[in-house]
Amino acid sequence: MNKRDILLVEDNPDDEALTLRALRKHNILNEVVVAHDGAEALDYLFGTGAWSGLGSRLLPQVVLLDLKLPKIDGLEVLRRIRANERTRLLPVVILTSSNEDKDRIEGYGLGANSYVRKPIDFDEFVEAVKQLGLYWLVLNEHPEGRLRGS
Amino acid sequence: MNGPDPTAEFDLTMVGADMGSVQIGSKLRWQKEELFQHLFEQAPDAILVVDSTGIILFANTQAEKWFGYAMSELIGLSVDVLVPDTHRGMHRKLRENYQSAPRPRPMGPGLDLHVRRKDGFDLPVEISLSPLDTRSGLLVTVIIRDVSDRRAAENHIRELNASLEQRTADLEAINHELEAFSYSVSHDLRAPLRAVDGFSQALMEDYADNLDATAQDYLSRIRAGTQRMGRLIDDLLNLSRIIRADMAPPERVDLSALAETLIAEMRRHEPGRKVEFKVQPGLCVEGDAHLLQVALENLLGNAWKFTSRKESARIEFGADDGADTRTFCIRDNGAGFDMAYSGKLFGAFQRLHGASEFQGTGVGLATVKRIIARHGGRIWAEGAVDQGATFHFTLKECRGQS
Repeated sequence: MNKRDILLVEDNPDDEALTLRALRKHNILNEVVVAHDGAEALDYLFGTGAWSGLGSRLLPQVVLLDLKLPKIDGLEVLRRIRANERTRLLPVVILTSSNEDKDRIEGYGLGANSYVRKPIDFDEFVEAVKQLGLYWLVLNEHPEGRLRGS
Repeated sequence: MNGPDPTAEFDLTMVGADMGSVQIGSKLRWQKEELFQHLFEQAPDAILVVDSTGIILFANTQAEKWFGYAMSELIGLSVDVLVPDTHRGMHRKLRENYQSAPRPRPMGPGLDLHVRRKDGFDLPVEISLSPLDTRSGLLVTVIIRDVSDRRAAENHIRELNASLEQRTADLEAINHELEAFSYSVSHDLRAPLRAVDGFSQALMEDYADNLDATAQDYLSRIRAGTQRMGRLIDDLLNLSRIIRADMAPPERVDLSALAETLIAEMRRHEPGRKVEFKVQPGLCVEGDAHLLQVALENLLGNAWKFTSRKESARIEFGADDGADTRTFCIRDNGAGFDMAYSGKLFGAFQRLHGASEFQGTGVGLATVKRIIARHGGRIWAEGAVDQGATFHFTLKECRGQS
């Protein structure tokens, strides 16, 4: 099957493992690319740094973006995604521990498509990932359109 | 006055003065002169009379005292000498201009004036000028008031203001740090909890066959613990948010209607509970609607929770009559509390019941107290073990009935 990737931007290895587990539990088979900080995420999206020369790759289906990240924080990553012609319509879901109004408002203000607070209860977390997967991987039409064969 | 008298040759008769009224009986005239002399000498301000070239003709005792010159030195001295040297040139010009258009100038704040004493020290002063047109030319009466005390007081106020500003800035910085702190708590404290809960769940799912009932019980205790800590963190964050939140402009809040809605919600959540709820209709206050809802939610939530072991639970919401501020009360017939511990009731993380008896994090009443205090009200409680509890609080009643 020819599917778009999911870009998970997450610096915490525990949260990374739990998110991957939650995705697997719902039979989400898209390849998940993990970026461990904001700079890595931007390199992946813009084909720079470690990802240079791979610039013509397909954009991911959705970006799951943590806010508190080393080097370049999540809101700045989002700002740069929205400022770039190629990625400005890319679906971005903020997936974070924070439920500060400030973050939520700023996240939406910068053009986040969703804002999901990571619950502590793993069952709730799985449920949240399930809803995310259902919406962003199945129902939502990617701005670049459907892929042939998918 | 001692020393040479430069006024001797002056005819001080005012131009245009009615000579008839001046030439009165000599005794009376003598008394009048003495009276004026007395007034002149005893005036609390320094008084100088200067001629058109700025030479001092008369000075009173106060001037002698303040300027530190002997009377014999003052008389005949140019008034410019009494001006601090930084302003002396300008003063000469101002004085010459004044000669061409003399008019009375009253004292008043706004001008930062100083005089130079003989010892070189500058005194802050206010000065009034009044021209006196005599047959020997224009004389000017200069009244000088020492405002050192007032200036010192003003400086003191300025210093107090500055220190107040500094303190405000410090508080703002602390507030800012607190915000960063609670942000960090919100984010960083929850992440490890998620890991503990998530991997416990993963163990239960993936290794259920290798875990006996005891092991599974332990794992569910671990999960319950993390979830409880998660609630604690959330409650703590909510409390800090309420402390930090800006108050919305006061609006009319119908507490009775709000209470009905909240109880209806609790009934929906626990349809098995039988609770008699009595509310006095039309109780309305002025305040921040969101914060007041949080307060009422906590108080009614407590009443709901602590009556859960009663066969026939009863919760009442009402008010006592008062003038402008009204005392409201929420009464229940639940588990109550020992008045000996009533002081602990409103402290954060203080609980009077064990977790096995009643669930809770001990932040609710601390939150309520903050909200009532931010509305300028008071809250206190009465109760007895197994006799129920009553929470009284005061809020500003809204004006006019709707």
